Amino acid sequence: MSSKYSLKNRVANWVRLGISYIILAIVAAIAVFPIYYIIITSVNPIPTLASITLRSLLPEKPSLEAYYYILFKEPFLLWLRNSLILAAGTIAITVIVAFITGGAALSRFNVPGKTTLMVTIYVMTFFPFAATALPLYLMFASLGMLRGWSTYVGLILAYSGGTSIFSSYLVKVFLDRIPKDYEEAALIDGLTRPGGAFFRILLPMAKPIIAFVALLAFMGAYTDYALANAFITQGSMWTLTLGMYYLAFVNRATLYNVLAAFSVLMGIPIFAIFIAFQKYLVQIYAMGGVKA
Amino acid sequence: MDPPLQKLDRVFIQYLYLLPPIIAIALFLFLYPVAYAVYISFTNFDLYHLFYYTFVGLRIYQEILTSNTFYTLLLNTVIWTVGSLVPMVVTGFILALILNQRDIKGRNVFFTLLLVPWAFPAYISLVIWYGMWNYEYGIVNKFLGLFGIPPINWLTFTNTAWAALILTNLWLSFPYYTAVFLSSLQSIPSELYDIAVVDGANAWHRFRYITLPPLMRSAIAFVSVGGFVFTWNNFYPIYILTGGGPGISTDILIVYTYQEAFSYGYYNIAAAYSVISTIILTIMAILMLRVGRVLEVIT
Repeated sequence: MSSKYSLKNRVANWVRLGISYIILAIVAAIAVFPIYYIIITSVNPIPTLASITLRSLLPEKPSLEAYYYILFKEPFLLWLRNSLILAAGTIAITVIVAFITGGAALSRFNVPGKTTLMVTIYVMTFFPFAATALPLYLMFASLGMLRGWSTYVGLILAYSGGTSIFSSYLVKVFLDRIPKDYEEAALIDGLTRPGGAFFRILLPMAKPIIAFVALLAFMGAYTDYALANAFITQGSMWTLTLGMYYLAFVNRATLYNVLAAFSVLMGIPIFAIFIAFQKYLVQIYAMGGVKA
Repeated sequence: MDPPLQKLDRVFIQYLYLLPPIIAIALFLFLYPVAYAVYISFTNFDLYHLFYYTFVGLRIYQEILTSNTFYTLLLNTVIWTVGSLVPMVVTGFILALILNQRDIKGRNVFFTLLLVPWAFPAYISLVIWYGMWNYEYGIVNKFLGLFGIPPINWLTFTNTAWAALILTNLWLSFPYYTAVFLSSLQSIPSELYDIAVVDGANAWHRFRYITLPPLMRSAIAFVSVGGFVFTWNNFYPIYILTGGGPGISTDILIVYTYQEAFSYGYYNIAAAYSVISTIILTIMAILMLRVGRVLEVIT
């Protein structure tokens, strides 16, 4: 015991802890900085990127002018509505598809060749979205359906295809941890209606993974620019990401603090959800072992 | 029929009615798009041959594989993937080790702060970073100015563009690796370390024989393969920050594929690029999975 409290050890401990705290502080500062920067810019009366100085990182006269401008002078609310419609559709399809395929088929059917199937699904997630979205795009384009609401049907199907294959894999990994005994016990107890075990037993226990898959589907639609850019041809159908791209890269007259306010309004709700459920989200990500 | 088999059958039958929708979904959402892409890569189907296209065999593949563009893109994709992944995994691992020390105070606060880049939607962060890398007005150059470093035209030259891309990507992704590594470090029972101390093991030995083995076996290999695939197909950083420029010197396969399909209407070329990219990626992933013995986890 005496050696543990020797002077040499105590100095070594201080050095180790000191270096640890310094590294953590620096990395935390870098991690937080861009978000801090954009929030501060959004409440600063800064018209262009040029007028941002290091001093403006501590604003003297904060104002909500930029928020007023983005909310009422730009079609932010229309874009938000469009994004939410797409997200809602994607969530609905993804949850159903992921649960049926991942839950029932991959986790509960013991069919021969299941290993091969799992590997195939895993490999199919490697396929670039630019190619898998092509058939839907061409189908809708050739039928003249890239106009009006049918555009969104095409987009929702394209998003769902991408998110559900990954989600069904996650659901499978999650449900594998729930022993089959529960459903067997239910059968013995007389729950014999077809689908009874599925709806009464498996579904309630899978609530956490359903919530996670819904979040994943939401993010897929809400933060997609690439497919929306390809599918959407009318200005009134634009989503938040298209609007942001336009304001940031196309329209040279955009005020920088307005773009910042846009970023904050679009990003902070997601940010808040993530931070609030971080423990739980990190757990599922660690379980799935796939980054998204 | 013996009882166990009967029991198994009853659970199976409970789900049998789901079989038709499963097959329909698998065909329409998963298999059809991939099969279609493979099919048109063997034709001359593009914006200019929308209705009268013919089968051209391997011609598109031959054109791609004999072009310099393809090898530039492939090299860039490897630079992008490996160049991003190595710093991400190393940073994530070191931060996880730091946070896992038992006498660190405020672990939860630090951890939450480190998660910030992951929690904010990447698309928006990239638009913000685009402004921060700006030559004349960007905040990065202004910070460098504090140390007397003259402004750098980050996104206009190939080397600095790569540096900016990889640093941005590191910022975006290190929290994921930190979180996953930390969660597997915390699953190691602390009693093991106590016993090792009693047995006289020094810090290096504890790291080498207790900390590292479970991580090496699963976490590092697992997330590295997942991260490799994700980064290989990561579209937005390059599309938003450099658009593949200058020229195609920072362009990667996925960005080029997207541009071919949706900017120029060469659907068949885009499809062929996707097939080639997927084959290369699959071979690499399977090699890594074999080495890391990850297949047991996913199946």
